[in-house]
Amino acid sequence: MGPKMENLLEVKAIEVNFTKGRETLQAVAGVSFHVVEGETLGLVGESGCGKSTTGRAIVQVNPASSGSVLFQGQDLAKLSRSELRKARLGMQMIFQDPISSLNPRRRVRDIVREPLDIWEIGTEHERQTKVDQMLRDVGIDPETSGDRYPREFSGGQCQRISIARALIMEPKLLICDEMVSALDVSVQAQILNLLEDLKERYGLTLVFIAHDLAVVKNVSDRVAVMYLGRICETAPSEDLYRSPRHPYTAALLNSIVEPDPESPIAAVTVIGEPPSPINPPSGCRFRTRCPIAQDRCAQESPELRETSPGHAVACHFPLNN
Amino acid sequence: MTEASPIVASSEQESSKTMGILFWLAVGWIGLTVSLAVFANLLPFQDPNYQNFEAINAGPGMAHWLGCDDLGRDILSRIVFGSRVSLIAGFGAIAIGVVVGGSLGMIAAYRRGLVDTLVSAALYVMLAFPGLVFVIAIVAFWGHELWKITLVLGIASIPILFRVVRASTLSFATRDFVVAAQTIGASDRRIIFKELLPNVFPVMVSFSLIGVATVIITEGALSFLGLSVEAPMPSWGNMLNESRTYLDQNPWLVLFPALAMFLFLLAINLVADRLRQRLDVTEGKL
Amino acid sequence: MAERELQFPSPARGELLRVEDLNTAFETPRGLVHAVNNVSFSLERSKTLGIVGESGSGKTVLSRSIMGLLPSAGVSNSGKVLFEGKDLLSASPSEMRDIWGARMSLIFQDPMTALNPCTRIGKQIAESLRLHLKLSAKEANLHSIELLRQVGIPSPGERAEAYPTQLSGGMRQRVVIAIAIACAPRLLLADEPTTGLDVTVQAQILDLLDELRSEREMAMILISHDLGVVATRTDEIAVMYAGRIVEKAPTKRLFANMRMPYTEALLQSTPKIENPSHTRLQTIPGNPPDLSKISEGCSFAPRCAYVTEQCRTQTPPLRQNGTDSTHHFACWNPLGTEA
Repeated sequence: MGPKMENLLEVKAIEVNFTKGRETLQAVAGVSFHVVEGETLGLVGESGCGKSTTGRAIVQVNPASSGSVLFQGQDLAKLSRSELRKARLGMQMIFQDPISSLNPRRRVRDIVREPLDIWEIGTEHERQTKVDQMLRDVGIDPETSGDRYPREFSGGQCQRISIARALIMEPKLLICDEMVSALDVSVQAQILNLLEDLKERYGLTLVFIAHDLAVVKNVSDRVAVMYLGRICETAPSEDLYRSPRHPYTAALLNSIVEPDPESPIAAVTVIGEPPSPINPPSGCRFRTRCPIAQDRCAQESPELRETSPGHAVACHFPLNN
Repeated sequence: MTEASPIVASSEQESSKTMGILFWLAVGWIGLTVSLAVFANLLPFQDPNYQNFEAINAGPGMAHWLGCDDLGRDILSRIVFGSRVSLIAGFGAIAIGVVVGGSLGMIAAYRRGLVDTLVSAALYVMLAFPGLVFVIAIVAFWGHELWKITLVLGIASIPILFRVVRASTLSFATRDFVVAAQTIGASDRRIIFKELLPNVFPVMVSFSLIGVATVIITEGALSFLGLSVEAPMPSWGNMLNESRTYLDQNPWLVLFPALAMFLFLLAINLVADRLRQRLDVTEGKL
Repeated sequence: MAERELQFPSPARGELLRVEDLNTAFETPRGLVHAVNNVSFSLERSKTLGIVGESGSGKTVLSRSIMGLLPSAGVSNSGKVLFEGKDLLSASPSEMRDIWGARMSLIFQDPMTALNPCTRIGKQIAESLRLHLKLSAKEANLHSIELLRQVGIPSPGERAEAYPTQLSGGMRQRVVIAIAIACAPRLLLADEPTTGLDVTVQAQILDLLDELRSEREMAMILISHDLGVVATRTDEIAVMYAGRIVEKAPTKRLFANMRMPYTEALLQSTPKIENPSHTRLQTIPGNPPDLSKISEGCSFAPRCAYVTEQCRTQTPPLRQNGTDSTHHFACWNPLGTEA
């Protein structure tokens, strides 16, 4: 396939801890994955699994306390403050809450222009042209909307503006942190389609973080499933759907409610509630809810192991479909 | 596919145009007071210190619109010249408070962590001191020239402004748009000035105005203790203080300075309140 | 389990709730917002009605209007809400207090704000029992523990002493359900009961609601924006758009034979797990409607692919689908008609 198949992003065994008083919460407990240039990696899991924290660790907002994040081959932790500032331009993030992502006291044009002003790119006129073009690309009319404030827009439109701001510096990597979770279904569809279009036009690489497996599968080439700070399974989307190997992935797939009254209601295969991340279970963290857990699962933490090309599972007794 | 125009049209602007006639009257009154104070020398006011022995305790009349005090000095011009003390002390002290306390508040709220803990601790200790006692103590020993009073009142107002600005900044500093600004490479200074300050500004302004009113009253209190500006320099506070002795002979000496002070403070409070209402509402709830 | 029936007029047949021409409007700085427009439907005992709509469709205001939980200031209501024969819109506050919790209950979307963080959960359940069934403190306590067991909370005796903050989201929602069913209401309104909960917990909660409903012969109105949630758990579905019901049919029939274009568009824009990666989703162009402007004609017209001039000028009424009296829709050019 040629030299383009390098890893744009490599995450190696990162850990992110939050301390509150005397308690330490290990939000991310040893996560590793890579993202090839031009692909979309989906990161999926339920609340508390650490997926958003992972996203923020990548963009160095909550830097990892150990492990490394390599972007375009550079270890971000080893960069100086000014080098980091520059390197970060190559990766941008879109957030979950469309309203809180935009400064309520600034006009739309100024919000999208901000990166150009900070880095002093181009002349005044060039900046204006670029902003208007970017707004049009995301489906916002600069003439009627450019001078307005975020409160005058709907959730979907606010997300479009956020995307425009993120893409104006032409980053290579875009981290989408639950970016459609707060939107209505019909608006969600618009934004997802827009994302695909922009990905092609700008040659982006995406890390798409969400809790909705159907949405993630529609968008991603490969999917990584997270549970309580660790990755359970990584596979190409279709493989993950057809032959999930990890019991948690299988449970997630079973819980999906299809809008089809004829489809049978699958039996719930997971027991109880997720444990507290402050005191995670020993060994495999999923064992307290796993229908096939054994003694070994409590004693030994399973490593992520490849069972077939591109498909890796962290389980002592992976499912065999 | 281009989206249509924004959902909420300008109807919001129409409803808030009516700030109320009371608001504009209050603004006018403040403007008038300040202008008179600034331009007093150029305007045809009588010399506030000229003692006209024939007009001692005279009531309001053609020669002296608001009458004279016990030394024959024109009350009207003493009120106008005296307003300078209140205005300088009020706005000056709050300016110090806002610049120092406000900056510290924003920095503490933005950085959080250790910086916040240390700065907050220091300022909360300051806040715990009974402000008036502190002011009295310093002024009594150090001297009560106007600039000294302003400085001391200014320092005393730092903790409360710190607290208000910090609280307001905190509600914005944790929002995603601040994180977004960091990822696009904005420096901390830029974030504080361009992202946080515009959001915190409304709270700052309305709270500052209330602060001005409080300082003016405090200056009045200092006058009653003989700790404000020395005679013969007029101030609202010491006019009221002097009037105590002559209450039965010259009620105008109490009435007019008190009225002047009352109306000015009322105007400030009205403006502060209305501004706060108006600026809060414009943050839309979607 | 001791239960005392409250005195209430009961109709002879199975109809429990009948809503007739319900209208709810709010006064806002932006003008009058018509949140619910001419909504009519009926619900039989032990049946489940699903109400589906996106934000701004009016579904939450509808549930609050039915319960009578809207503030009186700035809100105008018209129409009838007949519950067991009694019109709730004209009932007095004390009559309503007898009904809430005892005959009709509501489960909210966010369990954290629905529970009082300062009171132990056992006590919160007992409150309802003591108020409506006049049980003593001791009886109420025993009852609460039993209810906690029924909603699937492990070690209910201990958990009754816990505070809401000590429970997870799924647990809290179970407690909210326990409070709602404590006095065996005849009607349960569930407003997005699983939104915000983890996917694996969602299924458990929906199962629980199903179980309780069939055990107690409760009728349920399940409100959701998610077609998947209502597809498998309801007898009948009503689709709402801009405050109106635009299609209403028994569930299976609705999915088999959609007539209103919005319903179809909603279904098609939902991403499906079977779709391969990078599937282009069907979208509904434009934005959800602004409810402060009552438009002439069909409110979906600006976004509809089949729009005609008539759609823009005349509001389509809800009419029957041919001879099928259970299926109604509001559209001038329904799907399946010849062009």
